[in-house]
Amino acid sequence: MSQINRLSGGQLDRSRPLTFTFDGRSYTGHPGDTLASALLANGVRLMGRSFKYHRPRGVVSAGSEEPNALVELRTGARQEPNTRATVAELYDGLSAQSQNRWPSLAFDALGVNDLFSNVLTAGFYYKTFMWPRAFWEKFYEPIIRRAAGLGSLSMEADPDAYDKGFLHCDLLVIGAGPAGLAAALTAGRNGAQVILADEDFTLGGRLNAEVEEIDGTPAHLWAATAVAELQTLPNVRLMHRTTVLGAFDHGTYAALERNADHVAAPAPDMPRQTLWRIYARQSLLCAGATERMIAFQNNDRPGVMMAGAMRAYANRWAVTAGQQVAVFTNTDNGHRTARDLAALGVDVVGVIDSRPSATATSAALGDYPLFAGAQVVDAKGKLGLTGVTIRRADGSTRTLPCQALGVSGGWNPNVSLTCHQRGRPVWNDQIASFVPGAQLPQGMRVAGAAAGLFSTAEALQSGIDAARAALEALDLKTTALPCPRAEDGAYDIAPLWYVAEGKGRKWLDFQNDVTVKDVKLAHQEGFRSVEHLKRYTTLGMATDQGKTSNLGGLAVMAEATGQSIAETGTTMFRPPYTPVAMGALAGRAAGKDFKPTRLTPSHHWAEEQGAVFVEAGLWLRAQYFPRQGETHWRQTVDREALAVRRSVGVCDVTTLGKIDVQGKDAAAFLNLVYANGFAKLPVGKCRYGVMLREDGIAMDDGTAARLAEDHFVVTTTTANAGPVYRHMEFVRQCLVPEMDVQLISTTDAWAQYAVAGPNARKLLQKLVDPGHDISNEAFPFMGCGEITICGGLRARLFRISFSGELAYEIAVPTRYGDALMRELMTEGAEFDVTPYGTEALGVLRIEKGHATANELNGQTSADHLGMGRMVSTKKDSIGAVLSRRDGLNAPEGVRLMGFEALDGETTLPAGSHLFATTATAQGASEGWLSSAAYSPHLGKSIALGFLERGQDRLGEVVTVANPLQGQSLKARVVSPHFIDPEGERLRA
Amino acid sequence: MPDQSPAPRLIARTAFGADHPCVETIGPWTLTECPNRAIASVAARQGHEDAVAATLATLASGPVDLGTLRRGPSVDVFGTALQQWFVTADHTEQEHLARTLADDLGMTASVTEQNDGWVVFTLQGDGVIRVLERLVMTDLRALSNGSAQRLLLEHMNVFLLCREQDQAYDILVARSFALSLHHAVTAAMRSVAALSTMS
Repeated sequence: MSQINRLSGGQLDRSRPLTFTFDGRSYTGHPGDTLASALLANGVRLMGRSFKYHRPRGVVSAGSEEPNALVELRTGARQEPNTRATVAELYDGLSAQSQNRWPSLAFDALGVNDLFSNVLTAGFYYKTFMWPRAFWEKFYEPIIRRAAGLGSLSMEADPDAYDKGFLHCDLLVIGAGPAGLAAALTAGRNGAQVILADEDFTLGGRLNAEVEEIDGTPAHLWAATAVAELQTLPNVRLMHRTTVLGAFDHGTYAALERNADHVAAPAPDMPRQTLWRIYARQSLLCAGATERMIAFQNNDRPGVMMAGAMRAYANRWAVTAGQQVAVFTNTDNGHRTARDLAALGVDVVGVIDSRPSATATSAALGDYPLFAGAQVVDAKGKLGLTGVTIRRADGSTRTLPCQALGVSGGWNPNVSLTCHQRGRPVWNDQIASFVPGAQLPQGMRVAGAAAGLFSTAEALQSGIDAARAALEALDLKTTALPCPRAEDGAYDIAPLWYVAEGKGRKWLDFQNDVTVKDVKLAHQEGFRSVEHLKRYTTLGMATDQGKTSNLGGLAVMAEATGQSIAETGTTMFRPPYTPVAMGALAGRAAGKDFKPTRLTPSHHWAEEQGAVFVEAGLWLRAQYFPRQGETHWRQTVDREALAVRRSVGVCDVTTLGKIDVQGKDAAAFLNLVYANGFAKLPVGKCRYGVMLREDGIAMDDGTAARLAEDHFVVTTTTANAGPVYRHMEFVRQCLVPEMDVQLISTTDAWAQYAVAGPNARKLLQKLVDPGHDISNEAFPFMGCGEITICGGLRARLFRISFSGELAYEIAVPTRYGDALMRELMTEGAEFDVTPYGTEALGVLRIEKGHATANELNGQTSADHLGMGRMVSTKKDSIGAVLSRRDGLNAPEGVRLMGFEALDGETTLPAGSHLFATTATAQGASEGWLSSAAYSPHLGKSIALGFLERGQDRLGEVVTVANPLQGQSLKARVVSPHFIDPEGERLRA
Repeated sequence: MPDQSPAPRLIARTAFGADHPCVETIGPWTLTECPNRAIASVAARQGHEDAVAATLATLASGPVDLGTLRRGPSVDVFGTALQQWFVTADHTEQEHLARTLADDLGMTASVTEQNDGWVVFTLQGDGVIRVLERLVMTDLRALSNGSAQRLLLEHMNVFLLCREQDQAYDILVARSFALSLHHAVTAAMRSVAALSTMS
């Protein structure tokens, strides 16, 4: 099909044809077209089906407020539903499909809903699907969801990348129409840092859509010249295709830049969209205004559109929606449309001006039939407008044949962003619309049509004035910019919200199928508050957020209640201003990049060994090191754990938090944060410690090593490294600022390996430099010291054991960590040294009965953990008093105990609840298993857990209930120290 | 004589497990890992704040306030928090920087070795703010030469040091995050480079 509705002129690159498809049919357009303008040029008026009744719908607007022309853009994984054809920039090869119809757009079987419109009124769902209650989820809702809805998802992963970023400016100008351009020029020429953002791909706003002059130059050329100047200013950032979505606290704005939506697919590495956070010291809203519909019978016929949109299509895109057009207006504005289309050779069959005063001399701008004091009472043509019926001032009716009708019910300033910080717009009788209220987001001003100033001259001047005021507020220089000469016509409106005549439906909200009758029904049924009206009728709840419909609905409600529109009020405006893809909100934080990953010093070596890794917080740790022939992880873990018990193993424990504590009061400080005593810990010694929260619950455990009188190194669990550091800083800065103590994390600075097993000392002795005696006598259990290894490299050695074996932890500067691991493997070969991962580490510590994060779960006290005696009564420490509060440590409370599977082999699932074997089905849980493992050393399944009165129940058999997996097992209560309860091994 | 460990049997590796620093050039920008930096943190002890600041000012050839970076003849110093600084130097020459500083400052300050606590990257090239503005929320045009800020970069805690505005910056990140930081920065570099090709 050729472009039968293409006119002369326009702002298109006609030298280059673009081919695109809509519902599989091929069309052509030009660069500069939107999908909507190109479809109209090709004579396509039917672009979609409505949400509820599946009514045929055509394009209504020429901007982001579009409620009707929603399409599925692109195909495959890039298919995006609910894309507004009015802002979809045409590119070669564009593919769009209509949505919410079956089998085709022209014949939609679900259009049958329209036949039951008398039933499907406002509140239909609420009234109808009440009974039987159980039917809702399984029966009603699936059917309704199938019948309703808009576009569909491809169900494939989004292949595109999205970015985010942060911008700062003195002045953010939102909207690049006449006010925005004048403001940006003013601020830019004065040297301020300016961001000018506009959602369009061509800056200029309405200047690109009107036939008027600025300083004697066609308006769109003046805009282009202004943009060209702004592009030369290094302090001005122009952001095309960028929608400012929301105004947030303290001058912060969200803006979505569509980087690659105007091409078939982003180039490699190119983000499709970028979500910017803009910090603006001042902002200026120049978002223009949105035209509104007058509701009349069948005013949703494809071909009925806003008069301003009809004019924009003609002037900017050289398109008419039909060869015969009419205009229905209650302002002078509609006459501009008639004038411009007539000038382009389109047959204007009439202007129906509801104002009786509109005469050929007072209102008409050209030689076209004018029906003053008349109204459109009906529209004909199911799939496309064929004509309108009008009621003339003398009471007679007449049908005007036309394929398009431009409607101008007045303009609504785009106040949305002024309300995002709880501002409320105020009613302005003069323009019959809401304008921004006095309470604006911090630093915001409003200019141009957004402020209710509708002439171009007013827009330009207000932009200049507001920019100067903003700069003055920032104490920046402001030189006055002469205001260009421009159109300064008055805005004469006689409000008309809907045409009373006719029993057919008069549409207010096109996207959610809300009619005048629905609003009246809501009133009749008591839903009179605007918030109730919105929820009951769904007025303004669709993807367009009612940009073209809300005020009409409010006006109808005001009439029904006998209140003014101002008294009726508005619903809240909330971000985002237009829909945002979820991918844009995620940015690059998707998939494995959702969070950063921390690698251990031995990571690359472990990869070489074929280690299997596991996430531990942000860390990636070696979980186990499978060897050839091992077919199950248990084989590997059993081997690793036994190797430690038998000879020696090495495990990377760098992930444990390390906090350097220095200062004159370092010992006193630790004495305060740990429940047990640290003041008298000798230099060269480590001590196991328990930290309590203020409420007496155990927070973390670890060791502190005293390297000097005024120098300790505290270790924390991996999981609590951050929280413990934060806690200690809080104590230092807020609770004991008088103490001389300094903290800093050294977690990453040192590669630290546990060397555990009967041969641990022999292995280390091969690395430790002569002069450092690490014999049992010279370096006993819980010793620590700074040494050198491997020929002079500084290292720290701690004789601490998590496994219960003779064990050390050795630390070197991290850059040497990889080499140290390799050296340990080489030198340990004679002892059959074995690297072990977190799984074996867990097995070993469960065998030894050491608590870790599973046990320190924020609900357990030192007493519960069997460490009650560690809470010193001889000193004050954080949490000590509340740890002794009534009830917390009652004898009948839980205690950490060991558990052995009664049959030895069956796995005891961690998380299972514990019951006495005599308990009935209704019996209360008496505890839970917190950690479980198969102990290769003991040859049985074991677990740690908390059991009420556990200390008195040694030997008792309890029921281990795992209802999630339908298990009920038996276990025997034993000591949590499964191996070497006397600690002989670790002191060997 | 360089102040370094005597020919250890253990070979130092970069944060990427490599023998050589990671260098990535995309478009006009280059991200370079700089493993040859010794780093020490210095925190003044109570009552010695002025003395420590004076000592560091001598090393840095001028006072080093919070949020500033100053380059001395043999060390760089930047303020990291109230009465806290990082001192950096050539690792080959001053591997034991922390020990030296501790000896010099005595009981007036707490000094901690951070040589391998942090990885230093340099990001440089014309118009590099276009890359950084996708990564950090600070006002980069207000971050003048010699500024130092502690920031979040893709959830990672970093120091950003402005060597030359819009041309050269140092980014310090905890060593274990090196790969993720590299990924985040190079992704932004690729992003902006790709966008530059868009007409």
